[in-house]
Amino acid sequence: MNFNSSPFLALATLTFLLYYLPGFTRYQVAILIVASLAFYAYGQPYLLLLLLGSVTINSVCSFRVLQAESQRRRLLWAASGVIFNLSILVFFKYNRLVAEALMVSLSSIDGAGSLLLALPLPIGISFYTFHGISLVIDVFKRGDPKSIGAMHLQTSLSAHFRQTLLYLTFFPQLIAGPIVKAHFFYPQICPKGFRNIDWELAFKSLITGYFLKLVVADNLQDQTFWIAYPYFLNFSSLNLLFFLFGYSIQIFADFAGYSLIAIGLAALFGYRLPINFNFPYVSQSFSEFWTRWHMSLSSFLREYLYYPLGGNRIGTARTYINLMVVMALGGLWHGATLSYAAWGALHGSALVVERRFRDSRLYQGAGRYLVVVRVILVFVFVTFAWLLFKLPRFEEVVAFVQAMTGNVHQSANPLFIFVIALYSFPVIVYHLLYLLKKRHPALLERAQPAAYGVMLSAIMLNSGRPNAFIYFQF
Amino acid sequence: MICCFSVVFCYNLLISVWKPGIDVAASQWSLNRIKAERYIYEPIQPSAVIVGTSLAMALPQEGLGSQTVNLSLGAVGPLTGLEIVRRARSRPVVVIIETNLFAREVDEEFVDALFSPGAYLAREVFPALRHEFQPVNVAINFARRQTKRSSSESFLERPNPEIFRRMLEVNRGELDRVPSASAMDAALAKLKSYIATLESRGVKLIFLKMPVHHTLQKSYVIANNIARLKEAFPDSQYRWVAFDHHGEVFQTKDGLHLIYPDALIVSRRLRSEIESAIEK
Repeated sequence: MNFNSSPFLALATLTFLLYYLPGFTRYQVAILIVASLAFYAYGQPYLLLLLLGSVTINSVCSFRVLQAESQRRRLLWAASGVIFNLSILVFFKYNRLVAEALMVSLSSIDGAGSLLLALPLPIGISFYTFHGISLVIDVFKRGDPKSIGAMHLQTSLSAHFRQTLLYLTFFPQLIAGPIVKAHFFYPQICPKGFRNIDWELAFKSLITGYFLKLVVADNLQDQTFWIAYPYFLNFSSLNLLFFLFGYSIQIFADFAGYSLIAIGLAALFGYRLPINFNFPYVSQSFSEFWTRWHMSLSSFLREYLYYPLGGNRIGTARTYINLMVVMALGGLWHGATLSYAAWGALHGSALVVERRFRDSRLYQGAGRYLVVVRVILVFVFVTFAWLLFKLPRFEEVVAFVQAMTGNVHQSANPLFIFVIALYSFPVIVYHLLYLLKKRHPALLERAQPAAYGVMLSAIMLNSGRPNAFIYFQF
Repeated sequence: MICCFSVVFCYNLLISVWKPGIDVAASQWSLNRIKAERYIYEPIQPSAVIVGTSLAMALPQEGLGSQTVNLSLGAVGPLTGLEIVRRARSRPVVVIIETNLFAREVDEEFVDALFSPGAYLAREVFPALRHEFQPVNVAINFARRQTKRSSSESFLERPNPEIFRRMLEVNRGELDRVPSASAMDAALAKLKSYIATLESRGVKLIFLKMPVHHTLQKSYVIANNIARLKEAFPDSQYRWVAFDHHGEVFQTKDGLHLIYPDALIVSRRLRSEIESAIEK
């Protein structure tokens, strides 16, 4: 069920009305759970089995960690939870990749195995398995003030199961994040009042989110469609450059738009989700980019993988290895092909190289010219790296780059350039306003109502063809 | 909210007064949507309407004349066009059905979005809500007058031989892929039901075989489509039109889509056929 579909609007409205009905306060968690399960089951009800199975096992494992009397048994249950989550992720998402690596022909597998392998990738699996991992690890960290007391965990299995069911199925974040850590979400599970809704946050997030998705991303999708083999072979270098630029804007608008919609929806029900994008295209370094892009994933990988591997505490060489491993696995999380791992490794390499040169004038200089050069450098690198997202086969990426460098003498079609520039303009303005906000806060504050009014008008007047969110495929 | 409704209201007023001419769309889908909405909302009733794919879409309006609407839609098939004709208020005298790639399923999402009751009425009352008058489309057409290119596909007008060869190879590969028999049967059954509906309204039919590259004429998909249709709608009972049966060769951009000069020739000949069908 897409956030921009009529069934979803009907479901969200009905849920909202029931949620705040007088006398229904004690049923709020149940209402959200039912709505979330309906949201997930729409179109593919059989996938509910896997989701509910995941909830059950994560509940049991995390509850056993809580109840275990020895550190050893706590570790055992926590490890079981993590292994279970990773196993289902590997099985459903990476079965083909693993088979290729083991040189096993998938057609040679029969019976129940072939039936399972034939299942489509369960939507949202990358997200709810990560939530499951966060839960068992956060509960395991007993000495950490973030766990138990602060997490408001329950002492009975049934109550804990209900909380976990909400955490793993909460519909704003279920399909495509943000990845919310358990210690951030659990303390929020309590009765909510209509008067406590953060209306400003909800409306601003929803309007901006739907604008980025419906007006920017959906319209750019019809232009970047041409980044597909063999169509891109016919275009001039300039057109291809703009298509790639347009894709960079599209993927930001699509994903940031989704995240903002999720934040806005959650706010309507009294829950806060973490910010997932913080104007990433103003980044002056790759490390800064990863503190601004898909922040919830970066934070998750940092806390649950990078730090446990040693982070930057075990020497330079080990730091570089840790960066490469984390980024490659982060890339692989996005998709079950080597091109995604390559994308992650590319970013890992950039981070490693950057560390080597971070004391250089290029990185340390504060002059305006150097700032602009750094921002452009990061943006260009990130944009070209997106090719590995858009074209899953390496040979097509190579063909695209060859066409980009080889079709210089072919005449460009200005229509494509004009359209991409028009639809990219709001995202550029969005980033510039972020920079201007520091200098002219009062002016921008006064212009806000008009800006939101214009965005709402654009949603009504200039929405594109409805498309699924890009990150739904992960 | 006040700002939003003010903007929409003022924009609607501007569009109603200015009536900007829209010839170019931002994308293929946008163009499809504009053509479909024009067919649904325009007060002028055309005598003939063409339904088809991007092959028939290449037939220029100047060759077809003012009484024929070309409702051929890129990336979808004639079944989608027929569904629009079925649901729309307009009652054409003649419907021309492109046969080369007829078996593409109806794009239900596209058609439902056009005819969903609330949105249909809103677009009828507020033309500014129609796709044609989206601010970006208006801006594109305003700027287009400063450029020489006339359509989003004009880049394909004169491909170089290497690109033509590559695209022909790709198209040959696609059209030699055997489609599922059940999908084919379903498409044919659907077409039969549309034909029955049109005939019950007294509409005359023309089955159009668009000229394509000779190697693609013999491709599995096109050859099979034509054979199945001729079996279901034989020459003896239905009017079939083709323009390349005397060995005449028409040039294409990529094996499938006619270049402009040849498309103009075909459209003029088709116009004669349409006029003849209307007179009978």
